[in-house]
Amino acid sequence: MNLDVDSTVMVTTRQCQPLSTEKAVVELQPHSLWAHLLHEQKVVGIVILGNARIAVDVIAETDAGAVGESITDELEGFHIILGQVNMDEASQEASPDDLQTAGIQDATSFREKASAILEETKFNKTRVPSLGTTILIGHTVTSSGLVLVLSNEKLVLVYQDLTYAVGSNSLVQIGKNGIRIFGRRGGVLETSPHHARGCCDDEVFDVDISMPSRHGTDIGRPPHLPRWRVPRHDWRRETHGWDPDWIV
Amino acid sequence: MTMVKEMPDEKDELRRELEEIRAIKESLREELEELRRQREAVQADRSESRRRPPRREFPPHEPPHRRAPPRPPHRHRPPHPPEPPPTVIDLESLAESLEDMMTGLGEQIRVAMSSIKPIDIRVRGPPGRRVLSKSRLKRRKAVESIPPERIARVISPLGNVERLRILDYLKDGPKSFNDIESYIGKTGSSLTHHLTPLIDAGYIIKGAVRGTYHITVPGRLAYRLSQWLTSQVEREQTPLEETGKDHSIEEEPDVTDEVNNRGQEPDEPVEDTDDEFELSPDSEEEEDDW
Repeated sequence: MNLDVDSTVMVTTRQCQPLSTEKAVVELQPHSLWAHLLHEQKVVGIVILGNARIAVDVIAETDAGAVGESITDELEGFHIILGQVNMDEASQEASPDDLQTAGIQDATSFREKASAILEETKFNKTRVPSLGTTILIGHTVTSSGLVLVLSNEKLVLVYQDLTYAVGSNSLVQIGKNGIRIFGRRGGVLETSPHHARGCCDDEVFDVDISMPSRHGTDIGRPPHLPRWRVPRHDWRRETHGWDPDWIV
Repeated sequence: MTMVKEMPDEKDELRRELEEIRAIKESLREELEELRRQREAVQADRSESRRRPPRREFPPHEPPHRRAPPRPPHRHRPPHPPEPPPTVIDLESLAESLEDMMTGLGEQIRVAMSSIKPIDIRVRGPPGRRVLSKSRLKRRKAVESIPPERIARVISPLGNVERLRILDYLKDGPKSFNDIESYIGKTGSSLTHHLTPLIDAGYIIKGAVRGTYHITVPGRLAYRLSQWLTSQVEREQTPLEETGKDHSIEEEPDVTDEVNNRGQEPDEPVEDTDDEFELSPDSEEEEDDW
């Protein structure tokens, strides 16, 4: 998918929510710059320059209670939202003063910087998100990168070296130390490169895994890639990044 | 002269005995021949049944040195004694006497039970045999060595009726702040005063997107265990007369299944298990789950 930045740069006149679902919300501050992203002359998303507050409920309601956590952070710099976004009512075309306030010389400069961000993100093998699916890519104050994929009641979040996959009543958490799986009936499975423990129904187990790490459960760290690039790498390798049906 | 007369008598007697012995010998020989013929017939039948080639038949007469020794003279068995007359048991009279006896015993038991007054003594059955594995013993020691500070950290957030009502309310699903306000009857900061310790203890989660509150797995477990603790303490404190039944055989609420079978509904009927310190052999598995 080759994305182009629209030549018209907009600015928000008030606080607005370009992304708002049951699981996640993004609140964009006033005087933020943004422009449409075009694919084959069709609007497929927006690129934003400005500060925004993001909140994500990485919480799954299992039969035994809720698991997970709620994450809040501040987005800064450029961030990209793919999917249906409607911010026209809270925005107007940016004036030179608005651009200079944001540290941008003119609209061409904004377009060049946004295109560089798109080039860095590499959407070459990414397809346009289907209806009901939204993808957010950006940088936060505390995390080097953030990727959020929302589809109806399900979400995938890459944040601070952790990857979360939340279904309707189950949660998978992948980190550098291992994987934690919370089942819909409250069972928990924790695996690390050489250890596994967990409980399901009335069974509790705690076992050592005598397996070489390169064949084991160290999914988060393939030997040929740095740790922090793994989720992003996987996301880029897939054609459209994520299939929401894989979450149980 | 008498000696001369006695000698022919003895000879005649010996001769008669010899004749008898010959007769017995002849009869034994005939019996032996008969047995041999029967044995040969049996062997022939076996060989035919097994479809084997017929064995070599022995001549009917065997050499003298193979003949069986003469059988001792036949002894006659004594005659059977006459059978005794058949015994006749009067079952009807016996049943009547037993019935009378049981009726009398029932009357005696009824009179004895009516004279007993209820006493406040709890009788428990014999203690079960405690055979605990090393891991179970280790786990029990670890549980018993928990200091009061740790217990307080877990229990103190639950030490308020409003907080317990919040947990009970959230069991049905995530609720917003307004929902909890209307249910508990507290508003604003007074409700936050109760919600904050529950959040800090990890018993509830506040969703940042919609501001909804979710009860967590530890919160659900803590509330269920609080219910179980209450039932246990009340059971020990309640006198026997008030309950009107023996507490030693009272059904106890089970929380071990809540701990482990997290997928079950909390209101589902669960199997009876003994508590940790009243082990029976059947309840050791449930006790292990602690």
